[in-house]
Amino acid sequence: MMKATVVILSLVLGQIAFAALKFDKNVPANIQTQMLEDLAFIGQIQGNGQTKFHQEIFAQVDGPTYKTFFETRIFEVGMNACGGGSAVACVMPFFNPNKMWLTKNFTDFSHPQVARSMVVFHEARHSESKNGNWAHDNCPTPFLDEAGKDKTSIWTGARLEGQPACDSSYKGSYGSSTVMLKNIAKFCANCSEKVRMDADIYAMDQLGRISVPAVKDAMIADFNAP
Amino acid sequence: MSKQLFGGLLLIFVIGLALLFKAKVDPDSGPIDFKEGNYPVSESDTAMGNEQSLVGPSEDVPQEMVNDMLDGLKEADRARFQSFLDISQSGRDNDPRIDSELKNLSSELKNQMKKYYRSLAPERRNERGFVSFLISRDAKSVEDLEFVGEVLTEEPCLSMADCKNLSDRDAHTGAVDQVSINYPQLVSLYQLESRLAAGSLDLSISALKEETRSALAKGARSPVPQIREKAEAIQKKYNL
Repeated sequence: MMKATVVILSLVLGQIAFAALKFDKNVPANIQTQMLEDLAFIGQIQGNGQTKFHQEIFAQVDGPTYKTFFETRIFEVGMNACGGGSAVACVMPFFNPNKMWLTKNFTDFSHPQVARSMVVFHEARHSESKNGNWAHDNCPTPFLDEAGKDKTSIWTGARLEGQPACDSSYKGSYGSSTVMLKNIAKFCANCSEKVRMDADIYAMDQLGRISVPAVKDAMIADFNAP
Repeated sequence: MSKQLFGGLLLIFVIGLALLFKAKVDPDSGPIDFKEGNYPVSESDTAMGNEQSLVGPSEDVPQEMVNDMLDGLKEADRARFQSFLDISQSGRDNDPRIDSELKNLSSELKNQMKKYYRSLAPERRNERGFVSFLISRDAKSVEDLEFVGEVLTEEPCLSMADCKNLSDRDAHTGAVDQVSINYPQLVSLYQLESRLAAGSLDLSISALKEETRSALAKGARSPVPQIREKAEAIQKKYNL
């Protein structure tokens, strides 16, 4: 009971902390609530260490650091189909780099909380106009996994080769969100076992979007460093 | 300006144009007016209130069925099952009760959770994964491992919106879907591997070893490469 009260209280406080985020009037209440709850969840993280790459991109693993990262990049949230399909969120840097657009999939689809959070931090990274919005690279052709098989976006098909869905740097949107999640998996001191497991599972999958083997190896070395 | 940076900027520009064009030609969205609070909203966006969101209380499992599940439990387990329901329905994955109240589960409580799992719509990937996480983290009987095998032999889920049908794919955020559509299975394998690594699954009991072997064999026969390859890697690593 006590623990549940602490959780609810921290979520409420977290939502107040992210209250500066401005939602368009047409963003449904349930989507606003979900986004604020997810940000509150990230905002309450306490870490007990970080890797070198994490230090370089975000600084330490903790909620206030992530909150600042997000709030200095995204000021407004609106609704858009984001190109359709299964997209959950997007930014359109040429229109307004500091605005994030959510789709109805944000609440319609049942993703773990840390996976939804990863998507919004991935999109927040795209808001950095001074860094060319960390535009994605085209995945190489052919784009093969360790077993020599074509990498696909989902198991049923859609090869990634030639698609603008890869990063060649650990600092890009895929790279930075992989670094963030892997560090949450490793260093979050107040995350549940489920959150740490989810962070690890999604990070390792996301690592597959790094198209330069030397960069991927450097990231693995960074994650495994003592 | 380097060739790579120019290419990247060009790519963003093209994607931006494509998004704007799509919005313009979508008969549901109407003309774009980017004035404050006046963004294009499609029919499906505004129809949200009539749809069942997959975050929040599940309407898949009728309340009478939940009441029956609660009634079938002793008082202490009833409170834990209620905590399980609260967390599952809220989608708050960082609830500390996950690592306190929802550990060392009784077989009766696990049976009710398995029932709940089977009642959930297949599209409830996170909720289903939550159950498979709790059971596989705590697996200590042949029945628990049979459940892991059951999860690993489920028909593959084809898309987040509808497990029976493919939907449009989005290469940009598709990596999230790729994991989420296979989430209950990946969680089971992750936990099995963690348990094997920690030596907390007692394989000196031959029945448990056989059932673990059987569950992994089921995973290794999965039509989903991501699941099959993970199961094969565990089989190989632990000689199972």
